[in-house]
Amino acid sequence: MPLPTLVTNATITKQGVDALRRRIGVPMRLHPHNGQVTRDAIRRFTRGVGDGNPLWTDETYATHTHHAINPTPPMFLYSVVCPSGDLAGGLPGVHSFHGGNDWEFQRVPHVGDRITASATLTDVVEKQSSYAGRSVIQYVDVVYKDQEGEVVAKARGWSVRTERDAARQRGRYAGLPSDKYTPEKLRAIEEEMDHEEIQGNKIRYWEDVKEGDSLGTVVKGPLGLEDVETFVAHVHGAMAMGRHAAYLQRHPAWVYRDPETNYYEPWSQVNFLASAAQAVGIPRPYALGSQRVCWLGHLLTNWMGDDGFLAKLSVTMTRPTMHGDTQWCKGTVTRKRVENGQHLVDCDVWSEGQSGEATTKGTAVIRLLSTSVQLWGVAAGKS
Amino acid sequence: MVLESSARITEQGIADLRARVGSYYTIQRGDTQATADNIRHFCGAIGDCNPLYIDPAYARKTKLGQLQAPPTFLYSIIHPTGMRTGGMPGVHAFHSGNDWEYLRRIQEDDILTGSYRPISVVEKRSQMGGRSVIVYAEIVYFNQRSDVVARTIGWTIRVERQASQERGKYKAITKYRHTDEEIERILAAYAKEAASIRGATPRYWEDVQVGEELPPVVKGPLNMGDMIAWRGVFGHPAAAHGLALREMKRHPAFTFRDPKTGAMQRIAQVHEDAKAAESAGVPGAYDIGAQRNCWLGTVVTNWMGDEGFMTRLYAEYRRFNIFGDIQWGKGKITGKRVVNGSHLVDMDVWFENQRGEVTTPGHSTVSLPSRAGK
Repeated sequence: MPLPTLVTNATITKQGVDALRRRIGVPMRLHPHNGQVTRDAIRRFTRGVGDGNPLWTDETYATHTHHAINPTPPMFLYSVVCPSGDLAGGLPGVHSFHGGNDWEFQRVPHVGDRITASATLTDVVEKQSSYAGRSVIQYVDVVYKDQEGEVVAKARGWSVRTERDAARQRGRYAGLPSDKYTPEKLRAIEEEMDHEEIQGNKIRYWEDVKEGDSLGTVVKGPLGLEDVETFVAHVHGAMAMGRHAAYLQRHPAWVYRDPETNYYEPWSQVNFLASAAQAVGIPRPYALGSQRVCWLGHLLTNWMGDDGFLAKLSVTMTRPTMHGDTQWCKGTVTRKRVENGQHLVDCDVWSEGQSGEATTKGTAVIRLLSTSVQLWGVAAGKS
Repeated sequence: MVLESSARITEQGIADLRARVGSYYTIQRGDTQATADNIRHFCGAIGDCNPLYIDPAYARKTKLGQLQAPPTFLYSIIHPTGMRTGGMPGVHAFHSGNDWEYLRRIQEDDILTGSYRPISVVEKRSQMGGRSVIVYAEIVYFNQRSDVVARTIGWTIRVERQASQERGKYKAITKYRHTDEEIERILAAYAKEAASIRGATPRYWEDVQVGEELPPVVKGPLNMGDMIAWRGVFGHPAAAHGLALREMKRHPAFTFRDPKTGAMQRIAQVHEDAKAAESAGVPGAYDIGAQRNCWLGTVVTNWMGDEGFMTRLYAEYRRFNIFGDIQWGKGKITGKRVVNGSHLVDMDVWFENQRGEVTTPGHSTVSLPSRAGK
């Protein structure tokens, strides 16, 4: 059987961009990872993210909340279909980075739901980047529906397509922060990871929140191979052996030859193998964009408690996060408002690395309970 | 060395292990249900292309009428190995074999659970690490009707890391580089394997000849992607970040410190991290025994057809399968018999690597449809 012809270091051409543009609006064929919301799927998802909130996985706990049954973390939808620009493919041999996501949530899926997704390429924009020169941003809109056909959430995802050779030659990220930690620093990180605050069943009322309040911190790190592996395994899934062989025959533009074994590896090995990451100008293997949005989701759900509802989340990747890096996920309340009777809190969210630089930036809108709510004509809140 | 390697096998350690024999254990589990999603993920992770397991529309049209899980799916429920009993901290553990008896099919949406207990502790000399101990465990799997679905004995060999480093039994082995011709052969074998799946055409007992060979399956070259896929379905699931840290702190003897960052890692990273593997005396990151059993299962299930039923699968995980290695799965019919009306076929099944070594000797028994009962 002839070896597949690989395209690994292509340049961005007008024909390539035009061909990609022709896909705008054309329905895509998706390969969902999870279709059913089961306890198994939720447990695996939360293990991949490192989210120990009992609301997601403790059956008894959930019966004592208004959910009555385990809901999914909002970010669970990444395990159905990752809303990424490169769902649309195109530009064979040109690298793809997850650029960010805008999420709008209608309701929280729970155990027993079935979720389907549909996606369309909505825009293709050319841009200059300091990382790799000429680049293309492609936008994909994904709609998630439940078994009744009701919309559960909508997401926009964008991918930044860059030339691998150009990125490597420019070497913009050659000087990223070191992954060496003093024993004291490491102890402090472990201490923080061990004492994560979860609001849980203590209701966080809108009236108790002040502009400028901190959302606390969720720490992820130092990022080890197993952290990334567990995320990919449980949230996106992977194909092995004969199934992997079938994939590389279908998608020769998404594989490369491993320099050691000479066999085919998918480009997604940039998340695990130094040889792949360095081929795109990143010194060490790096975390996935989807993974980093999930970490911010973890921060927000810890803070808002079981009765809060994450209505919107927008996150942009600003710098890569590599193996060995530690991320502090943080946020602050920027504004409080009441809209259509809903008590909303606007927040800034971001994650920063061990040298203090921001690696993601975003905003979130959270709906909280109010002490002034009336139920059946009586004041049902605290006041 | 990355892993702590000074721990010794002592009389006290063996006595402590023996004291655990017979008690049922509450051990960490993986999945609990054979949902279509879970079965599909599992087949993706072991490279199984059989439509009976991954194509619900196909499965509905078969005699069985609904989606099935491969028998080895039970590895995603509970990992049946002797190492789950713990004991002898710092002494390395290699899962070395399973003997399976299958009693029932696993259908879509079956709820599965099982019991786990160590049943025996045996002392032995090993070539790899000198003094060694083998721990045997028995695992019984049930479905939602409390029917026994399968039973297995799993055994684990415990060896001193320092002794295995010093003996260096595997020192001469390096990561294998495949030539283009070898890779062409591998890709051709994968295409042929997918086409060889027996599927809906019944394989009648009368048509099987002793000495007949089974179509080969190919598994490899083992790479990171195979391990990621497996971690997504394994019955002993890993965790990330704070969740992992909490679990590791409860079992510090199963952890090590990353030499670069200093962060805590699970010893299970010997399956992904070459440095950790080397300090256990293995020349590279190596597969998980459970994976090899599941791969061997596909040699049998590909061959037997939708109406066949695998009643037994015995496999010893002997030689290490390190990143870059390829495993060729083979089988040969050794006998035919009729027992209580069941038409059984016995076969040897095994894996050979690119070095020509038999890495995984095993045998299996399959119950086939008979022309007499047509």
